[in-house]
Amino acid sequence: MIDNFTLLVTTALIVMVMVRAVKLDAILPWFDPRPTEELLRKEAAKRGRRRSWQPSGTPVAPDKRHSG
Amino acid sequence: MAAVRDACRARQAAQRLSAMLRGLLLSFAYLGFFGWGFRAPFALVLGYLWVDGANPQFLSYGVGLLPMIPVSMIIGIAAVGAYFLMDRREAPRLNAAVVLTTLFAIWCTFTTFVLAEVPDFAAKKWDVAIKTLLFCAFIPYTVRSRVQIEAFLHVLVFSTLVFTLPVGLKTLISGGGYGKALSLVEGNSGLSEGSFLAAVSLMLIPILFYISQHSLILDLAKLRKPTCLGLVIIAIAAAIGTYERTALIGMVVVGGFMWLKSRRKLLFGAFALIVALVIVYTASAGWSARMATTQTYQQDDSALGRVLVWKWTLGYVASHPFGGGFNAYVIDHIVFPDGSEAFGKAFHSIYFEVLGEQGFPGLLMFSGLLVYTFLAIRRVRRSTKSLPTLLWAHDLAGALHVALLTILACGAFIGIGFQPFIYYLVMAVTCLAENVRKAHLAMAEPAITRHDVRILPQRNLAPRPVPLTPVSPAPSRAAVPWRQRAPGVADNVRPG
Repeated sequence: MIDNFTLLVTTALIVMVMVRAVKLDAILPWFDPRPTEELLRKEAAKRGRRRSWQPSGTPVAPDKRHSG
Repeated sequence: MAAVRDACRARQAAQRLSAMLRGLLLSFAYLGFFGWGFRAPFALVLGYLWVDGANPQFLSYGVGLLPMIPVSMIIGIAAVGAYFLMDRREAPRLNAAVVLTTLFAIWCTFTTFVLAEVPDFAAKKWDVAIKTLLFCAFIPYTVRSRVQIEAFLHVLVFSTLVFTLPVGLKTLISGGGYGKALSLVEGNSGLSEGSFLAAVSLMLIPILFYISQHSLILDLAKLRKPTCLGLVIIAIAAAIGTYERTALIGMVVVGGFMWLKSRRKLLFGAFALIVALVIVYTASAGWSARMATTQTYQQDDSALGRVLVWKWTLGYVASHPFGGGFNAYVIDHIVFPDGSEAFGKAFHSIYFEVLGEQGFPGLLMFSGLLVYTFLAIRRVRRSTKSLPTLLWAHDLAGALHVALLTILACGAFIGIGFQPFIYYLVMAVTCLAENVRKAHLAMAEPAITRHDVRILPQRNLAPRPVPLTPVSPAPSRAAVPWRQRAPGVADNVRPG
């Protein structure tokens, strides 16, 4: 049982990593780290504001505490 | 009697079904790398890494596509072909790591086919080692961006978990044992061998800590940190469960160097102390007795045999300075103090393995590769020390440093000089150093906000920055309304 669990989990993780890496790599600039920082801040703000029933692509209002 | 027979049949049917599902799962995963490889060729490099680390063809138990084809060769050729046909962008500068690895591969070929003591046996190991070396020399050309470097390390870790996870879980549940078959694949080669598994498991720990802190790919921070901590505990359990003395050395090295590099030394020190106390108080008497033999190595045949083989190697290279080719150990002859003899004892050390097989020139190239790597780590850490935007690179260089030191310390007692893990770490450092160099160049230019980045979701090209309005310094959120977009950029796009 442990062996099957291991295979299932690790294979799923690896495929997930590959898919997400391909998607992220097409979005982020390769060498300039500043847009990445901006993206991370934005993601954190979105995550804080999104409701659990909303799909991940749902537009959400910005975090007003930092938007002036 | 009939009931027992029926139960046996039902069990066999369940096993067949299980094997079939495994084969299908692994076959689909393998094909998935090709599918995504057409979109982004570096996915094929990740696929090669997975095949090399997890050996899915052996995990399929003869079912499905993988046992029938040369999986490693096909995906390796596809990765190289896809790079040359579709992805020759932002190639790194020619660096010492690539040059030394290629030279080392050429030298190994020379010793195998010209100097080998046992040519047929040497050719078998050469067939594996040459693929490792040449593919590693190719890696810096395909792994260039931060996401690609992180993906490389994630796949390295999760591929290795195929072997570490079952051993760690079984050790936590029922305890380990010396020579016990706890891994997915039985045998005494590759990661099924206890000391190698212990070394690699411990090597993963600093990389797991990096992933828990900085991973862009696993973005669920609340889930990521406890998961990585759990995997660290499983890695330690796996190392202990092998009952290998190498694990003790590895734990001291990984714990000591991680504490030195930790920003919160008190917290990390307390964590390490708790782990050490748990190990001491929960380890079995068998484990303690096995570890105690490190102090009485002169009475232990296994340990003393290693020392005698190393002495033989020094004598051998004194008369054969260019080495005896791969697997030259089969000609050795050692005599124990009690008069007993042993023939063909393996080198049990990466340094003596490289020296005995590739001679002084080989050892010089191998050492040069390691020296270059440590200098590159130092350069990266110094150049990113006070830059918050490159904190990830600073921490990653530290993690790779500790990982490399761990496997090199453990490798002093196991013959893994041509296993890919050392070279993967070397190449990860090379990719990181090149990325940081280009990041410094990029940061010297005016900032490009994400609003200026065009997303090309269906193409194999990385986004080309379209400098609409160079902004310097970076705009505040007040200056850039959140709904403002550059053409083609959807602000609410959430990757993944």
